[in-house]
Amino acid sequence: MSTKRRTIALLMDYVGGDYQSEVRFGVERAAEAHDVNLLVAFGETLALPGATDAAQNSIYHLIGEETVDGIIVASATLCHHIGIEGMREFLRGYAPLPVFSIGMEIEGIPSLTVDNAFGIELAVGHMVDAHGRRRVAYIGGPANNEEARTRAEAYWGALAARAVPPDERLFAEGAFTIDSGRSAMRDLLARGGEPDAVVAANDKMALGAMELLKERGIRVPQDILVAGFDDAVIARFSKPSLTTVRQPMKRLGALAMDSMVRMLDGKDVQDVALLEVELTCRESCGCGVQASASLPPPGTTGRGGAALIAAQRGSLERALRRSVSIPTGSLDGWPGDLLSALEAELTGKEGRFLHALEALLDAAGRAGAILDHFQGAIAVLRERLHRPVEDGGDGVFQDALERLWHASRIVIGSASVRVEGERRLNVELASMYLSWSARSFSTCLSLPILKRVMASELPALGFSRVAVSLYDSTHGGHDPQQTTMKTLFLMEGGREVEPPPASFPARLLAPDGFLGGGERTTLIAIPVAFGDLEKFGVAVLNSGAHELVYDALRLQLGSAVKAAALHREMIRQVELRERLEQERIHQESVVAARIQTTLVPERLSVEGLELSALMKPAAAVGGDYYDVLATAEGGWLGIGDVAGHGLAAGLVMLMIQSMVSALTRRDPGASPARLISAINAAVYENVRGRLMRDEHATLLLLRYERGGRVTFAGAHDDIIVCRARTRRCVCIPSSGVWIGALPAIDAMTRDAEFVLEDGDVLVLYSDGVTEARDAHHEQFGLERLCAAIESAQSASVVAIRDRVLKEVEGWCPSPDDDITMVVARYRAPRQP
Amino acid sequence: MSSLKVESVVTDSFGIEPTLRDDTLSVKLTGTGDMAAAAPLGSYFRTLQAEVIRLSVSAVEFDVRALYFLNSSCLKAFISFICGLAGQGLKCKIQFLTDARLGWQRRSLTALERMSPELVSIADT
Repeated sequence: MSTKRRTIALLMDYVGGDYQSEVRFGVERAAEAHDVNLLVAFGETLALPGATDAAQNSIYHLIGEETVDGIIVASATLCHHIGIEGMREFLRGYAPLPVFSIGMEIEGIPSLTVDNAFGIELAVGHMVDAHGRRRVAYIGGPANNEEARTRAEAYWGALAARAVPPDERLFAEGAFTIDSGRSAMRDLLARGGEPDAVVAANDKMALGAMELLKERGIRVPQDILVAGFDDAVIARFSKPSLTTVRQPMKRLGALAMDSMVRMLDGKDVQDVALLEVELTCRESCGCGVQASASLPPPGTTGRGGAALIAAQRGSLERALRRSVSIPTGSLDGWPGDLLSALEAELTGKEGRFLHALEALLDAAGRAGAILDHFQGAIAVLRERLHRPVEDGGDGVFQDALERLWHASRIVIGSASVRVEGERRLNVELASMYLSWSARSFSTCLSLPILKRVMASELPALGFSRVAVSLYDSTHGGHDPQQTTMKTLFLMEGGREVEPPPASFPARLLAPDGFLGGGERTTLIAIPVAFGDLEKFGVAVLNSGAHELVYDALRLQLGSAVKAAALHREMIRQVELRERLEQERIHQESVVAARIQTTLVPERLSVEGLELSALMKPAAAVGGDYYDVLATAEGGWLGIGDVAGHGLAAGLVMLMIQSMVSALTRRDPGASPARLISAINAAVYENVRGRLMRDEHATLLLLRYERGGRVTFAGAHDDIIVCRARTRRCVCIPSSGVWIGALPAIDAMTRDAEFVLEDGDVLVLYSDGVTEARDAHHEQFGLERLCAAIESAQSASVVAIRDRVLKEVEGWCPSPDDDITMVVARYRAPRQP
Repeated sequence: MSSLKVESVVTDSFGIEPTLRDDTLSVKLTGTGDMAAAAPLGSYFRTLQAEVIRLSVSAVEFDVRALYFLNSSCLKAFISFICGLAGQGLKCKIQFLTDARLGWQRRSLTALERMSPELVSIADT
């Protein structure tokens, strides 16, 4: 009967990094060996209670019994701010799931740490005992980091054990980074403690210290010795290469997984286990050789090569095992196998040793070992099997051995260079693909575009299984246990597939069926977040891509979702503003239409004139004006059009109407030209000086006398008079200028006049009539207007008006300008 | 040599094409100056006014022979342009090249000429 495969979570602050990378490697290989699924969730270092919890850390709170059976926590990477008490609280939050801590000893939680104190004791002791240094400075890690604290205490202890007087000036604190190592070294030099050696609590700070020393012209190791802790990859390639305490980080991860599986099987595990460390001496302490290669020589033997091996096989195996650190347990028997091959070689089976060595290097490379360390193994063999001729050794045999060691060193060197080359190539490829993908991600302004970019870019970055899910609500303080998500993007087998439409609880991390499945998997869960506050969702990706990619992708995804959200919000704001603007314009038009239509005369009554009029505002009101004012001697007709639309045009029209009404009331017999000039001056001052606008208007004022004389002035469309005598229309142009454009128009405004005869029809109109355009953009025009008037001239003035309107509306069903008309038929006084 | 920093405008129904020859700025307008053109025309003429001042041109020539219609809102842009130049104290001459067959040109541009006879002239073709 098959049982469900277990899933173990690994929580850490970063998936790259020297320590994190090595620990994760070990955990991952052990997960494969135990046939359990692995889910690596990485966020950031945990924040202090009350401080802003980084949005990136939301991922930790989503891990629980719905998705995993046990949790391994790389505590040393999460504890910098919250310390041991904070970590204890954090880990207890996962109860009842079994939890295992790496790198920090926590009461009540099974833990695995390296022997930090012994490591510092080795480093400081080496400086004092082997190199005679008495002014050994120390650069420690963050105060809240338990490992850093243990290492710092060991420094003081190592000095005391050697009767070296403590000096506070020789102790500085860093933050496990290169920059903080530089700063700490700067402080140490400034204090005047005159250090002659420096031990740092990790390699990065040691490298930072070496950088600063080089800048100051202080030589390492000639003037000062330096040692680090970790044996990170970079330690071998720095100049000078860094002496360091080798921490078996991969083994740490592998053993943590072994322990977790034991816990799940109900077996006992140690509360606290310590892993041994050792000192790797390189150039920065002046040794330049690997200390592990050196062991006390065995007792002499006079027998041949195979016999030499047989005599010290157990001791040789131990020495070989110590010379090379193989991270996982898969190659446990390698020293014995290698010695057997050497025995076969020495008994005449030529090529067996090099063949075995090549196979071993190949397997060790896959297991993540540092192949260069096998040079140490060859050094051990050479030392142990060397028998000088003067001591009874066989010269021919010794020469053959020397050739074998030489060939072995070449094989190891080639393999090491090849592995390093592959690593470098992988880094360069990952960097290149990331650079390309960054360009694509940076242009994602919507989620559909982001999906397209993911579909095209993620396979190139090494991904074939991906689920990116976003929270249904994105407010900052949501409870991770209650939140739901919906999958935005789903990829299986390197191809984008349609994600399920339904929401699911966020604590499941991915849609149903994604995390489980038939084959064993290692998946990486990363938060999709922006900055410290904005949490958008979770991405779950297959392992196997370069570690650089995960962290970069975390930032790119978070930024892309943020950019899409910002863009969406920007569009929403623009649409809202446009809607408000349209609404404002609409409201203005409503007000303007009311102004325009309610100010037209209610009754049209002027002695001697049969009158009808019409004003029909367009949707965007155009500021038309007409008025009819009766006086004792006859009356005034006015018509005009304010250039522009909306409320401002309506207000200008209101000014004109008020002024015409007031001025004609005060002086019914005034010159129209003088009135126009006066109105112009006032409108110009009001519109340009006070409203700070630039509206102008056409305005035509006609003073009608009962005898038929009409005096007019201003600028507007032609006046049409349909003569009763000829039954034809006459167009009388106006000769003035617009009002409101110039401060004074007196000089260019003159009165003109014509005389109406009995039955003549006078028509005033706005450009909404003549400029009404049909579907072909042809204007209704003056000729059609005159034709319509002439054809209806015998009818009533109302019928003439309606006939013209009907024809205009037939020509242009949706006019975009106001239509205004005044139609007047003159009736001469009856002769007494 | 200074060059013009104002581009041509082409829409479905309206076009403006400026060219600078010696110290005369020629502006060819085409299409239909209706409500859709009013706002862009107003803003374009404000830029054009700045160019006239920057380049100290002595004459602006508006070729409106292919401008089939101009409503009062678009006319407002011309008036603001001319008043703006006059307000700056510039003695820049403005000439309209017109087509007598287009009614709006006679009505509107004649009034424009009356308004500023010392600056504006109309050349009928």
